Amino acid sequence: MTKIKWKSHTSAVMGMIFLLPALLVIMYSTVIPFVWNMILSFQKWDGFNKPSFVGFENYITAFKDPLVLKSLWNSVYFAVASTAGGVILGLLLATLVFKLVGKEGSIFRLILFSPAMLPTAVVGLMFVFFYNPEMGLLNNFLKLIGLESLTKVWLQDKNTAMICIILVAIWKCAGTIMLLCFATMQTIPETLYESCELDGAGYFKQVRYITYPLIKPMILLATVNTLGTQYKTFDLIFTMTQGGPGDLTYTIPINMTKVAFTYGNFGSAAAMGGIFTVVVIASIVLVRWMLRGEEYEY
Amino acid sequence: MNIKKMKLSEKSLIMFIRIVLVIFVISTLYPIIFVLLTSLKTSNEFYNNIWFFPKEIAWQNYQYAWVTASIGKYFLNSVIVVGITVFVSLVLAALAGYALAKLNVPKADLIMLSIFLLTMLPSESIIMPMYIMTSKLKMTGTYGALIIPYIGWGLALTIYIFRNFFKTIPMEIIEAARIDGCGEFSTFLKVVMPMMLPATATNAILLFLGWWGELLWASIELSTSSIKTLPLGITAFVQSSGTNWGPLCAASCIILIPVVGFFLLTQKYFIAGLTGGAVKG
Repeated sequence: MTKIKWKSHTSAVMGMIFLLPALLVIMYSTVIPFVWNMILSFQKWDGFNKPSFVGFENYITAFKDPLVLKSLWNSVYFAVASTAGGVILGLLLATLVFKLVGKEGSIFRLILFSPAMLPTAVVGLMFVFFYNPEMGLLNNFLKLIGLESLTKVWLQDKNTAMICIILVAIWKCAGTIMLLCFATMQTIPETLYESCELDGAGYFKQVRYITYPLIKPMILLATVNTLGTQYKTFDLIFTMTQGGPGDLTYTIPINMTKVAFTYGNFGSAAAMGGIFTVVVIASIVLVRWMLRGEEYEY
Repeated sequence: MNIKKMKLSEKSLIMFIRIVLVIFVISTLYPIIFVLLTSLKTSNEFYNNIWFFPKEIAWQNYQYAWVTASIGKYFLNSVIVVGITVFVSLVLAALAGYALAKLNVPKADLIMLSIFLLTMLPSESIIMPMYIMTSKLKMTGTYGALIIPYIGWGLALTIYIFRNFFKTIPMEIIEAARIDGCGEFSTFLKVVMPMMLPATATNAILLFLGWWGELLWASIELSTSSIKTLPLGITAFVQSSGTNWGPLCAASCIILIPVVGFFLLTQKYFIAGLTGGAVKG
């Protein structure tokens, strides 16, 4: 008995040694900068002179700055809209693709998933091209089918700029959600469907009453993950509009990097980062709470 | 009769699903194919023939992008940065994941959870001090300034996938090796490592795809440096060359081709890993 105890003790020590390098790198790349950012958000600092403590001033200025509020709103709007769209589309695709068996199904899944693996920066450029007013695919397509009146300068128009970017984000993220939901659907025992079929329920009824309730935990996980990713919208917006036209697609990441690295106002940027962190975490908690509910065992 | 009717409606349902999915497939693939086709057209041809295949293939677009716009140089930079990042991440995460799954580290679940929560922090609240730290350590503009943070930021998911995988290895195998006199390290090296190819492949792909296109940190860290990674190089190219679509699309294709190739070669592992880690078994 004591021997076993001793053994598990040594393996725990080895475990810590195995764990240590990873923890050190995480410490360096995440913990220290995050704590520093918190401290910095209470300081005034231009990057060269000695920083001085100013209390909550950076936060107060941030909340009074219309551009900060605008970019905060845009960040939330973008993240929530693209997540909602992505989850709905992903779930729909999973439902459809689930019915196709064998090679056919796997080819569909592979293609529909493919946007997820493309680098976001390149996706952004691709769609700049897609939306381009003169040479772009979209306007040319509209002309081709005789809807020339609908053509627009998509990314410069104040009514469409944000929506166009959101659609790209949905285009990119739906495949992952589809795949996650699909994989969970496969774990549902066949017998459940069979009994449902005997009761005379069609496929979409089965989906509504059996599949969706059973894969709810995965839907929740996918939603939370997607939301977290969508908040980091820097690449897409940076390559597509750089925050323009005007401040229309300005988000916190864009605003922050400008304030810090163009204007050298590190304290304010840090405060923005702090506010942003709270908003991101709050919305993730909110989503978890909204999608709460019982889990079914099967 | 009834069964026949059901069979029929099942068939028409599948047909309906096919049609809907084909529409989605077209809208997924067409933008990508369009970029590919445009990369092979001279700008003259592009303006006259937007939609279809090029009549003569304009390889000079690729040459222009690769040499004149230095995309080739950036490509090499990206290969170095991402290559080292992936390799070191795999080593660190495999060790850590093994420790959290199989060695009796106290509070393993709590440690995993805290690592995960740390990655939930938006990078916006990290990058600025990170920039100051790298410049204080005199690393600004070096490969290390990209590689070390990339490793740290990607570790949580990598450790998680490894840990889930190691949990599926029966404890008996490890105990047997221990009884045979293997130390923890040689158990890991000789018994566990040969088994972990699937999880390693999954992680390698996820890491590669994640960092190959990273733009935010690269654009900040390398803003004053002559070193550029591929995504950064392409964005700079766009901003300098405006509407020179042919070479631009060629440059985009250069960044896409390794991704697509890598993905197609490894999609089995990729999809298994992506879903295996998340689905309860």
